[in-house]
Amino acid sequence: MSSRHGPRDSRLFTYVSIGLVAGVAAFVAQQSLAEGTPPPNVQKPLNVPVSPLFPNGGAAPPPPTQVKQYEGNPTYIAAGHAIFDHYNCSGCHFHGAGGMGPAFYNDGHFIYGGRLDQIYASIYQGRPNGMPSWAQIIPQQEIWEIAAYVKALSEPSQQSAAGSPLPLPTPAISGGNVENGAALITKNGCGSCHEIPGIHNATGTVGPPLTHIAGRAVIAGVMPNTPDNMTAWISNPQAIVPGNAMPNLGLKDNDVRDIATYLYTLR
Amino acid sequence: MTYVTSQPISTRCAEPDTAAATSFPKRSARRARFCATALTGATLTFAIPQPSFAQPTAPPAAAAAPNNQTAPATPDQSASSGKAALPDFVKKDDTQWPTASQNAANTRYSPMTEITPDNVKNLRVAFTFSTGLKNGEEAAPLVVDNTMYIVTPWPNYLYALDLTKPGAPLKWVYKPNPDRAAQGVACCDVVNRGASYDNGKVFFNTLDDYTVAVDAKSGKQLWKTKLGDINNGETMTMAPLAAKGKVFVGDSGGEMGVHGWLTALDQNSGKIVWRAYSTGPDKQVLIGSDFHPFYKQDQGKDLGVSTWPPDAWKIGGGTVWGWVAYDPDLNLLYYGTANPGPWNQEQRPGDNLWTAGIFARDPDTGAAKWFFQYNPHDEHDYDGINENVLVDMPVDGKTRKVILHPDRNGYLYVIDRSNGQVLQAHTYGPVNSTEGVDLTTGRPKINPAKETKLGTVVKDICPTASGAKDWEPSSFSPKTGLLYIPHENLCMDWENVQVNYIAGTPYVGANVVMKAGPGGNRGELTAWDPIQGKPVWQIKEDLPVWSGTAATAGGLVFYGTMDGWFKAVDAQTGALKWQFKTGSGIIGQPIVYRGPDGHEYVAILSGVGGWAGAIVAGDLNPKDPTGALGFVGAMADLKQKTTPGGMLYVFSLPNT
Repeated sequence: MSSRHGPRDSRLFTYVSIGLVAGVAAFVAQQSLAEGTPPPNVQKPLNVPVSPLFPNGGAAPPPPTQVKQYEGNPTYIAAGHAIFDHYNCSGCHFHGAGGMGPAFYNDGHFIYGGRLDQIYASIYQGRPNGMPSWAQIIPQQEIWEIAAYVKALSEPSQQSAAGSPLPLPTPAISGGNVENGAALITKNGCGSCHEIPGIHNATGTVGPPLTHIAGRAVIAGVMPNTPDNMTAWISNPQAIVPGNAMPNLGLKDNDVRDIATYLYTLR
Repeated sequence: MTYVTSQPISTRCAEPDTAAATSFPKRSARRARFCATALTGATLTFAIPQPSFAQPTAPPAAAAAPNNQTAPATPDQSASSGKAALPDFVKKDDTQWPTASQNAANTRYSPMTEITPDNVKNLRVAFTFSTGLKNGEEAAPLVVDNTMYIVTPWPNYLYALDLTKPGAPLKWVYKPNPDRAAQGVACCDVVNRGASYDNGKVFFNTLDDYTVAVDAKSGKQLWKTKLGDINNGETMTMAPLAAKGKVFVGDSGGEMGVHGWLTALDQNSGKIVWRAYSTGPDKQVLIGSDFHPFYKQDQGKDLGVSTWPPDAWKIGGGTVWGWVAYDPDLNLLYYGTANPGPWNQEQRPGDNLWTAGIFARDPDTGAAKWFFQYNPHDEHDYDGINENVLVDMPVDGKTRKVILHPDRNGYLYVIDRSNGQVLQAHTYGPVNSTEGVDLTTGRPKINPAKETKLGTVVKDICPTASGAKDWEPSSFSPKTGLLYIPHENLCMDWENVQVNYIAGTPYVGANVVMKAGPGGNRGELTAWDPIQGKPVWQIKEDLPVWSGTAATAGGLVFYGTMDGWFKAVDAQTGALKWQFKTGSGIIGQPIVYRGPDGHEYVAILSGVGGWAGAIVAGDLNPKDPTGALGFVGAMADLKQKTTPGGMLYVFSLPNT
């Protein structure tokens, strides 16, 4: 069975993650949530048109500021992808095909509007033909992230590669040496904290297992899994998530590159 | 005009659930796999000289009985004729079609003889009727007293057509106005599988969990009883069985973490007489001193709790969305329970009783009499809900009252319906998830190579989650003694993923991609000899056969294909005798009846959809083959082969 905790823990965890990325504002949100108060703006309505018809010469209100902040941002898209499964969105919409709910491989053609704030509103409010209202479940920031992911899925460019419904990590690093990477992982004792397939005695349980690390959407809980982010993380984890348990090992750039190359063989 | 987002405009409000897991989703790498599907295109019929499947043999009836129960056995006609026969209680001259399966034995057999293999080539359309809808038409029309009744998918209209007038005009329509939001919790299209008639009333279920009784003459609602809650993920799609003054109905939602049940309602008042849950303490399952399961593993107290992790039974599925059968001579009701939830079996260690099996109950009290589990601790979504066809057939020289049940797991079970003993279990399609059934325990032998695992893509599991056969019902002809099984030939890749329970949302935990099985054809119609335990002939179809079949005394079997062909084949040989291209793919249930003019008519609802046809009905995108619980993978070409749209077609011979 899955581990079971209250929804607040979930929000808190996510807010911690977001706070590290988005900076002070989100950190304040985390603090307020931890104190039991709702996150900011929880009751503040958005003006979001669901219809493109504006009688008597009216026009759609300008999009809220969040649209600019979230739309097309790889960090938020990756975060949205990760929680898309967590809230069982994928149980209805799957990975773009749709099922109980409509397809998001839709070239931007949404029933209730494809602008980011319209997608946000559809998640927040629900829609009459079976979309639940998630306002009471999902913190608003996460709704924006999910909306950013859904919007990215709907772009025609996302549908060219069958079954790759997100900006997937490109786990290839040019010039890296797999064998040397494996040797460096052994020499630096990475296996005392991590379970690492293919490395002798790498059965540590202090940090997360690195099985399938090449295919994970997010690393360190805060960053999309890209080669640059991976090497940055291995080089200086304390700069990215201060106080976390992963030590700075003082590795040379070439060594970091080789280690990342090995890790990207773990699909 | 603008709306503000502070007001929810969905009636589905997923409640915060304290049981929801909070671990940050461990999003293991899912690389969707597009599985190219080999298409045969052509329809082939061939006789099968030798059984091509594993054929375990049944031990002698009494020898295998661990609890010394044996079936009453009396020599009679069926034993001497060497063929399976209709049970005595089935009316042999009933030319109407009063319930979805024609009768409580689920035989779907008409004694009409006017249309034959020789003259069926002259069959032509007598009249048509549009349902006006674009979701899957899985229902069987009913015909009683020169009126035809049709239940549609959501919004669950009940149409009555006057068969005495030219063109069968609309007599009345009853609209139950089910909640729109119910569409968002129906796993596999918003289908309805039909109605049941008894004592001047038509009974059917609505997607938003009501059972309705409508006056058959006037179309007026007599009562409407709420049985479930869409905010728990419950829907109702099955065809009720009306019998013995009651209506027997069950729920859907095995992919939503619901707590499955069968409920008996009083035909006159609509009041609930009893409800039996499929999981939980004996008290809720209505297990008492009358309960005598045949196999030892099913004997014990509160097994519906102890075969689950703590409290998992409360969200463990075991829904009842298939076919109910009733034997008035034994006074026993039979029905199957669906898969345990979630699909990710690693989240629910244990046998998960009483899911994926069959119950026999007292129809008056609901008390369980026996139970048999086809798939203990199901790992592949093998629901036990497929039809139970009641026949009497010779076994070792004696006639036994049996159930024929083609299970999702690929085995055709012959079960003694008096006590739940499995007499035969032979595969009727490709199976590698198990390696035979141990008839001393009734349990399938699990193939460890096809067990599902977290974060691992297990390739080429046969059959699929939808089974060697899904809900689409077989028919039985006493003339040939054969069971006509419409089914699938599909395999799948499966990866378990961790899933959180949030009430009213999917509770599945698996990425699945389906594909064509061995040979490349995705569907089959198999004529099965239950005495020999082997197929007599098979028709290969390009697409899964998702329609039911109907058999006639005239020597024909009717069925439809998902690209819209309605077909008549010779019941003896399987030779194609006639076909007609309807407007949309067929996933409905054919029926045969005597019209007011005394002539034979055949009716079918056309209108693609259902789980297999969700890609068309729901306009899904085939570039993600995991869509619709993996069925999109196997049906990527369906949009090129058919379009949606519900329409009734009724056929007869010329000059009738």
